[in-house]
Amino acid sequence: MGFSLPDFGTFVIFGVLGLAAYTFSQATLAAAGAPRRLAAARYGAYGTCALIVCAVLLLAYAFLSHDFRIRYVSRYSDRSMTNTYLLTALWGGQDGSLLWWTFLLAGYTGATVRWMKGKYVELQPVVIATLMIILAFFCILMMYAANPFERNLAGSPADGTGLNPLLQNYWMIIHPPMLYMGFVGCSVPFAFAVAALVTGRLESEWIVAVRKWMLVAFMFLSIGNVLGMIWAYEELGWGGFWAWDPVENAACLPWFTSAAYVHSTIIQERRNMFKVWNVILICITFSLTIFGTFLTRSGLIASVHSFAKSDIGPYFVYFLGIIIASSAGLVVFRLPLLRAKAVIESVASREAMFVINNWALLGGMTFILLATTFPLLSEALAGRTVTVGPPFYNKWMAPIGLGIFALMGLAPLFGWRKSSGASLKKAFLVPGSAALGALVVHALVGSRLGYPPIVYTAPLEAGLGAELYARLSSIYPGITVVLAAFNVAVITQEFQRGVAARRSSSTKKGEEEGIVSAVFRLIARSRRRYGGYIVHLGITAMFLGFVGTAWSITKEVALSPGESTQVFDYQLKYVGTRMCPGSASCSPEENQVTGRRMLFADLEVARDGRPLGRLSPAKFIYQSPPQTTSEIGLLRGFRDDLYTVLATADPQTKRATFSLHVNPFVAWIWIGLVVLIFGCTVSLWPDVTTERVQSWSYVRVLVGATTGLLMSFFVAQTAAHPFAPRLTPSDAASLERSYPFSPRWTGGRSPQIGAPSSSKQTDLTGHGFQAEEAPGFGTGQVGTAQ
Amino acid sequence: MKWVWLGLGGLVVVALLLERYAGLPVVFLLLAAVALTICVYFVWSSLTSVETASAMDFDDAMSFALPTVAEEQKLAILRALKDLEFERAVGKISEPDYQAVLADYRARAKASIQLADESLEVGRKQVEEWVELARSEREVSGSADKSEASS
Repeated sequence: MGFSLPDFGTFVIFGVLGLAAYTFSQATLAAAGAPRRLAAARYGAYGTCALIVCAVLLLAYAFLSHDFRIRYVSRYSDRSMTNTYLLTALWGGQDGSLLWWTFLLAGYTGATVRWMKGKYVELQPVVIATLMIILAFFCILMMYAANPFERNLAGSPADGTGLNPLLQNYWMIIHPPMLYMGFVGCSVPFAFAVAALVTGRLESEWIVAVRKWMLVAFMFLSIGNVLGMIWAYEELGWGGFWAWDPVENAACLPWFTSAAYVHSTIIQERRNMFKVWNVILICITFSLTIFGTFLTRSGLIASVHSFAKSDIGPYFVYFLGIIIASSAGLVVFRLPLLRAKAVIESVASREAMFVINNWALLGGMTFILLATTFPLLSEALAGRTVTVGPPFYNKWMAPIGLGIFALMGLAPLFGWRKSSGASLKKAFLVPGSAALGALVVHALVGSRLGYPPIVYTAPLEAGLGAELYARLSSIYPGITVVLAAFNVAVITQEFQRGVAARRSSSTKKGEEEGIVSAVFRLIARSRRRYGGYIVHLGITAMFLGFVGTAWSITKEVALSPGESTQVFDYQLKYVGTRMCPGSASCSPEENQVTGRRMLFADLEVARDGRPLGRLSPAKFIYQSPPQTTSEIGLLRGFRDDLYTVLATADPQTKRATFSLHVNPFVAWIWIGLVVLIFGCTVSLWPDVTTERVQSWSYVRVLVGATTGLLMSFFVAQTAAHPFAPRLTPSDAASLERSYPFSPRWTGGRSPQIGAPSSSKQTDLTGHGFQAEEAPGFGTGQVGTAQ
Repeated sequence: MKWVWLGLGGLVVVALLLERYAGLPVVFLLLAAVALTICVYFVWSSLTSVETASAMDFDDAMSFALPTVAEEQKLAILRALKDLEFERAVGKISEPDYQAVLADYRARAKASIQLADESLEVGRKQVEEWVELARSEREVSGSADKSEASS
């Protein structure tokens, strides 16, 4: 009797655990003074990684061949799904996502072991052993709580349940893997930190190497988080992209600490300071990735990611406890070696700026962590669950975010150790003038264009303090624009100074250098420095996108066919509804769709009398499983997005209610991401030397390929077309709880839409409408009608 | 390495042919089998490297010549000196500050280099002893060969 696929898959998982244990033992022996065991450990690590790859490929085969004997396959796929979504289902549910996590960790492990060959011989065994422990933890999870190869107890069904429609979106094909790449990538720096602590080799060289791995993790965390924003923007249909959902928060927590580490490690390199701080930052970052997974999986806090809820949370709590306890123990043990031999000599120095920046990033992370876990904390301490909403987050995160934004511009202007008054005066002249100029221009023309620098926000509660805070926060849009100008000027100045110095030096040598070639050679010579500035440029673009929410406009309107309405400077004419497939007005593609009926409401869009095209927000009615979802109609632009949602529609009279949003500068968030990826790629780009090509080159090629892929997606997204928030009734209800400012959901409750409400409109910016809701800062819910 | 690339190329060709004539699922089954084979190869290599006292390869042998703490400090200071020159070139540091910082870095670099040399002294003496020993052994065996040949 031979093995069946489910049994063989389970056997492979057991095999991975066995191999990881074997590799761990060899690595431990090598660390204990048997250096020849190191080769055995290295081979063992490669073997473990290959076996994990085998397990993933087996599960992929099971999905593609519809092997419904496996419970996970039958739960997350069906015969109607395309190959792309069948492969996406690999990480569509918990069991598979754990295997996928292990697979990515195997990739990182293999690359790390390859990269370490011939160097860090003292650290190697402990790094391998630590990575094996992490791999073993995930294997144990799969074996005892979430085996992706577990058999269906009731036998093989004729067809599967299918993947959650919410996840059948192209952004969801790449969003989770990117986020996982970021999360899992933090394991490598953690393994190095543990190795350095165990061996006592705490000097700067290992941290120089680890910074690159952390930068890779940081980049993937950025990609994962922004792709999540895009998914929320296009799928959830409430007009915004970030709502401080607990799982969103958990995903961005390690981003803060990894960003802090990427900066503070430079101080250790340069000044041999902050050794304790850097090691702690690495340990916190890794712990936060485990905490984030725990939060997603435990379901302890209500979230739009409730589809990911399961009962494996306690395993993560135990693992988190072990990580924190062992890291803290090692840091205390090595404290004498970690003490700094230098001090910060002046507040007017770059290291001082980096320290403040670190505290701001840590402050932001701590605030989000506490606010996210507040329901748990309040229940434990006061016996009642208290949830904090987006306004609370906005109230505190806006100043923290602006502080970080300001420090991002200030730090490059300072020199190391200390900066004299004269050099600071020279450094601040251009950026300061640019900021002042931006303030004047914004004040003069901002209101006329619809983007005033001061947007009054109604107090969140009664009292003088709340009133004062409301007054203060009303100037945030203006401050953001000024800081954006300041940051752009600083980056431009840094490039200009570098190019000038380079050209002057080459002139002295008698070799004239053109500006373009000087720029390229400057970046090539100091990739890390100038790659970092490019990343700052990307973040500046993102801030511009975030502040755009302060000027967003929302209008809810009921229209009969032939009627028109205007929102900002867009004119929209409602043409009528059409049900596809079946209607003569449906396109051939729409008529070929099976498994759902689609009710489109067509809107002709024009600006200044010039037609811009047709938007078709819609309702999709699925037959199996019975679900009604909403599609948005989106017209993208660099200035703003016109975002339309079909709220209700009467099939008899064809009268429909729409939620119309004008979202300024949202595109700049996505553009900022592309710039950020480019900057990270520049920083990670390999040295052009005669050195033998090693695994880092492959990692960098991977990073380059990711950039290309994302840019392709971005370009493909520029056309206006409808998107679907595919929500189940329970999802919609959950969303209404989670997004108190979101437009009313009707599609999830009934496709027979109720009586449309009268038209009402929110205008926060002097576009000619009455404001009904106070805008916050930094989230997309701002300005939506209540 | 050449064989690895050839193997990968062959695998891609076989996978494409299988995809065309047998379907995508079979390609994944093939790849799983290849991954399993690679796993077996590495496990076997690991076990044999434990069992047999095979010679260490050059990279691994060289990695034992890891930099000492003093050498690492020296590298860090040299990197800082390079950055300092760059900051001076772009006008981020005034001339008096530059001179002061430069003097400090130079003093630290000198101390680190001295410390690094001292830390290498023990190893250097050991190597010299080994070389001397090997040379004397060769001379002894050489003279023995000569005496055998003459007799």
